[in-house]
Amino acid sequence: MNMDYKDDELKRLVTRFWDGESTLEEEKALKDLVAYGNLPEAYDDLAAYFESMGALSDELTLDSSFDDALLEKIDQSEQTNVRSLVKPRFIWAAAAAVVMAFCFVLFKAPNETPNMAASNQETYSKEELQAAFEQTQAALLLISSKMNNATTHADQLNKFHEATVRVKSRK
Amino acid sequence: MLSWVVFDMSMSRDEFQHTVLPLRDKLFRFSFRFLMNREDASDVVQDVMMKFWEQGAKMAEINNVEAWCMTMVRNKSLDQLKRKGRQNSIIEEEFQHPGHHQHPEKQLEQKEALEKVKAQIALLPMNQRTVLELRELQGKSYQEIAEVLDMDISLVKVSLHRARKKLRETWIKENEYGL
Repeated sequence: MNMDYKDDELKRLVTRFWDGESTLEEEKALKDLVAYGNLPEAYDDLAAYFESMGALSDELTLDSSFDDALLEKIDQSEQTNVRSLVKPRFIWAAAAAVVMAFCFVLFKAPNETPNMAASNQETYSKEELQAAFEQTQAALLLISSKMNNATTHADQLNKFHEATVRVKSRK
Repeated sequence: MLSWVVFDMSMSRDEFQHTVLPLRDKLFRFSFRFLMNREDASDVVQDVMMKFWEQGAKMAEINNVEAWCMTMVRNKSLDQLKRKGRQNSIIEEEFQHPGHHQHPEKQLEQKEALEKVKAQIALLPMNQRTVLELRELQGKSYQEIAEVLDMDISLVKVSLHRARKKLRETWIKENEYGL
């Protein structure tokens, strides 16, 4: 770090500081000059100012009782809130099984006698079969969209984890 | 019916303790610059941290936890001031009047000097106090201060200039420093 400032350069820096125009880097440079005792006496007011600000940061703090009280509140809120998400996925799985069973029953060609086959063919018209197919397709699409929500939630969980890592790394 | 925890995206207690709780002193000092009252400032900080905790999964969308907390503290502190009918809060914290200190010891001189500075800061307008806190004690850039206080950058610089000037003039006057 360069501690050698010409008089006019130092004066310019100090003026910028009091004018509220200095950058953080310039202010750090001034603080370092004070810390190392390299600031001329003419700038004792600046040295006193930095010393005061440093002391002030130690003055206003919260003690550990704040932490204890807050964590106790959090623990109490956890006990009363229902934090688990109830996702009866098995219901959707069961619904999918029912639909598939329906499809199986509908479209299966069982071991049948020619007479039975003829009578089955006569039971369902082409339009009825088409309608049943479309309804089955709609039901399966509904089930898949619900299951897609699970994928979305998993993505959000990943994002949260990434955000946590980012926050921690900034610290 | 079976039920199980499937997707609980809330922050854990441990994560909260390591990420959010360490901000308490910064947030407390910041609130104090508005309210000039320790108890009120402490309440504000506690409320903000509880709100953060209760938001649960929504907090995962926040990139900058500190900035969010600072903004919330500012808003709650201003609400508190309005509730109490104060726009420019008067001093509630009892600063020991410098005149009461008659101790000759050097270490007490420093304490006295600090009390004077605290008293002077308490007399500053709220804008100047908060800008001073964010710049001098928390080392924030002009841009960051402007965002937290919802203030124009030019006003940030002017407020900082005036605050520094006032404190400097007081020091010079009290030390009879050659001007």
